[in-house]
Amino acid sequence: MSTSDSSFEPISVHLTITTEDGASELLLLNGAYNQVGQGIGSLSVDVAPGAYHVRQRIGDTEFIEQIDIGADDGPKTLTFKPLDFPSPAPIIGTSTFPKVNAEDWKKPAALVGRTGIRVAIRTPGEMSSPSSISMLKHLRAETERLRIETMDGHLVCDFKDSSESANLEESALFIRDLAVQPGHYVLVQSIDGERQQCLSLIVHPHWSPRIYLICQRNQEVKDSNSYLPVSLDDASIIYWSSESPKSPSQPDLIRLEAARQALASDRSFGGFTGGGVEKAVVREPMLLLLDAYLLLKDMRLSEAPQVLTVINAAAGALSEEFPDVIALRYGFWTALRTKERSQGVPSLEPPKNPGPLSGPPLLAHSWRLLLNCAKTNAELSAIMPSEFFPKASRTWFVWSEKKGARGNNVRAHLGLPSAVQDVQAPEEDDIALRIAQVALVALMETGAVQGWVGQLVKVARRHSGSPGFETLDPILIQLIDGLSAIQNPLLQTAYGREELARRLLLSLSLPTDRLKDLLNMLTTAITKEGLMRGKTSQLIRVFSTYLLQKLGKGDGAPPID
Amino acid sequence: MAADDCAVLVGIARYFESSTYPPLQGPVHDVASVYEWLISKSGGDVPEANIRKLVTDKGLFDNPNLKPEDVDLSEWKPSLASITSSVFSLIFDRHKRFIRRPNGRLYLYFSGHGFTNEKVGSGAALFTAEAGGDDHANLGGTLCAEALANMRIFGQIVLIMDCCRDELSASPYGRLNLTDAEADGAQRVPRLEIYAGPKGARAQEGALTPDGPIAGYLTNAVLRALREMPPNVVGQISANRLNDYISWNWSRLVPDGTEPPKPRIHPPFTDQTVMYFPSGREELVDQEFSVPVDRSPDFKVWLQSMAPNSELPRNVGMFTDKIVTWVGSDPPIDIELSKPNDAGRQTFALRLLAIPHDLQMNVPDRTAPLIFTPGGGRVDL
Repeated sequence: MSTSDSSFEPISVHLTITTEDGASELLLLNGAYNQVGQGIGSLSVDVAPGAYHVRQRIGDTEFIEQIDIGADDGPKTLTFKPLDFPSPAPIIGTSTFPKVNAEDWKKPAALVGRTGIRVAIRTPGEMSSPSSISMLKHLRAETERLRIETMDGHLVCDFKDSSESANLEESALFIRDLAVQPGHYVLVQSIDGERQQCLSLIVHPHWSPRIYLICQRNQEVKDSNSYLPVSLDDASIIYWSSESPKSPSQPDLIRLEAARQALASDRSFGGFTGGGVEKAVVREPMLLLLDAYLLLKDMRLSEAPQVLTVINAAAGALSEEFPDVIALRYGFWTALRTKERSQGVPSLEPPKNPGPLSGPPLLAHSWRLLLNCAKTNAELSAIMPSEFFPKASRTWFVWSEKKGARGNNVRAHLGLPSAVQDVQAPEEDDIALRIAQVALVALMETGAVQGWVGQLVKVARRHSGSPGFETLDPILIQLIDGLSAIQNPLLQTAYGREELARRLLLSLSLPTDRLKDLLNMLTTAITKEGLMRGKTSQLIRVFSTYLLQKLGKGDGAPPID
Repeated sequence: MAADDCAVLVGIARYFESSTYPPLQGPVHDVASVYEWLISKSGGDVPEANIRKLVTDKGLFDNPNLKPEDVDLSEWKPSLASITSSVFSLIFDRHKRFIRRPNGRLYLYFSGHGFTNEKVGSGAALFTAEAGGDDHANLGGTLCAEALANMRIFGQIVLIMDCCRDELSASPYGRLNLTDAEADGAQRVPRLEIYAGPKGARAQEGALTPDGPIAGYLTNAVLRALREMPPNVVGQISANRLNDYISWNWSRLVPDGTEPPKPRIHPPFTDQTVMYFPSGREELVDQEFSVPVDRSPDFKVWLQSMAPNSELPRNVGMFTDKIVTWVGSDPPIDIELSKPNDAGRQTFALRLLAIPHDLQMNVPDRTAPLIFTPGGGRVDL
């Protein structure tokens, strides 16, 4: 028999790739497009000689380069230049930050040594030419739609008043610093006379949020002065120490923005804090929150210690009572428990619950996690306004509501001492959800429903392009849309009616005790209008009238299909 | 020939209501390109009799300004009815019983205006030619593929939808009128789904070269990837690698100066059969190798193509008595070894690009690289 040398391995080359920004996602693929390495800011791997592709990426901006590794090459180090990516945050070198305005950001802030909120809204940097007049008009209009309120609805500052004195035409930038006490606040954006969008803000005793917004041109409409409404979900939000203001050129802002854009792009590629967890605790807790969610997604059991380190660091910086920390603790426990069960590992103790939530979380992921826990689900119901609609946001928790919907709901201010106590594990079976689910299944099994849902949808669609359509009750529209979709027999076969009903209810992203009221409203309407007795056209007429009135188109007889 | 493979190709360039569904230039050309790839020996190798091609009629195509009243409604095709009829002609026999092709692959190609309904989940639907007014006639391509997979009529399904995925949550997807029952083992039917963009995105068409024909960017990119991608050791391209290649090369696969949304490609699940396509590379040749029967149990071979065309990354071949398993480019590929010949050797064949390759073995006196170009004589290890 011929012999072999089992210790023999062909030559490999040690490859190190770094980025000057220290924040880009790096992916390394071989010639057959198999991924052979990844990292944030740098990666280091032994590879066989051959051709490789390197992808450097922040958000949707990417740079791809092919590299060749020769068999005779020694250890190889490559350094990539910073990416020219867009960012609402004031980061020098990004494609939307004009150097000419850099000094504006350094003007003395009213928040040195005090807690507060900074809101900045600007045009994208246009290096070669100043912002157009139409863009500046748009900037002013968008600024005037914004205001800050407390969680219980009291006005803190209306930017409409402040913008009149601001010289937007010269600076193309609006900055407002507000000194406020720690607690929950809301950045409100008016949609029209009736509804508004809200972004959750939390002022921490040691950390003040700075919210950076940007006006964008509508890229789909070429050669025109068409602009998009400012998107609250696309804001860069940074926590700055109340004691030490920072320069906008600090590199951890790039990491923070890269992490935010990775989360918004639904990546499961974390590690933006890298070895700098301790540094982030004292300098940038928002990075810890964002990175924790990126790491938590698709977490492997072996990665749990790293994820826990980041969550612990976030708790250390912001406290265990911080709503997003509570959500992360619950999310980590749930993820780990699922994996442990599948791998036969003994179960982890449920997280200690620090007491009632003080207000809504910052992040959309946190909102969804808190809804999954029966205790916090009920608490969110008590915190939020009587009528609100969570938006399908990717990063921040954003909702829409009727003007004046928020009442005196906020229970506590952050930073006040609260006893940490053991509580029972979050419940898996949510009784309120179960009741709503059974009710919805009963509704689906009512033959009449199948007929009128399609008709209602047609009426709604007819007006979908009409101005003011967005003022309609979005929960009602979404519920009717969902009912339409889940009538599909193929889906009913695949998932079963109960599961479809559960999915539809969960997709509303509402605290579960609100679902009962919603279904009661719907079934009452059906009964009242005699739909159960087959009077389909009557309900359609009622609904059409409702739509037309909402749209301000009079009370004339609506068209009936 | 892939005798059991079938295809339904639909290209809709004109719609009943042109204000809502503006005329398109690409779909008819795209269907012709896909058809050409399907029937070619180095492409799908699908029998022509197994392909149903439905495109906008020339009379309609050449007169984009026709008004609805100028043409009888029944003339607006491909319609939901005509597409359904074509699909049924492939899956039913004369007695309306399913023709089961467990070793066959079904290609579903849809090009035209489309939308997505996120309440139903992922996927997309193609508006059919009779759509207009309050009639949102459509065929849910994803639902169609799911339904056929549930019936387990084919062993594999490839769905390509070169159409928009604007969100239109209020329109339900049109569907094939099939039973909702699910056949045993339906979950094992692998599906490759290729969409022109993420939910909410719009597909794009345009001239591929300054004077070239108008084509859908997605269709062109998929066909081009199949022609130019580096293959594995047996001259194939897996669905996963196709996804990676298009993702990484998207800006190069579309005309300069255009920025269409990146396609969304959903390969089969990892626990399903790996789906392969033949590589369209013209330099592919068969290469025979031989190994001694009395090799060591831990005998290994490392094979890769050489720079500057190092398109085959380092693959390692691990041997048992009857099989060599190749690991490196794709999920492991098993290749059967021949029975030992009189010289005490077993043979096996790979299909490689005819460019210089470098091969190394963990045999003490033969660790120096063996350089060869496939297409020559047998390589003895």
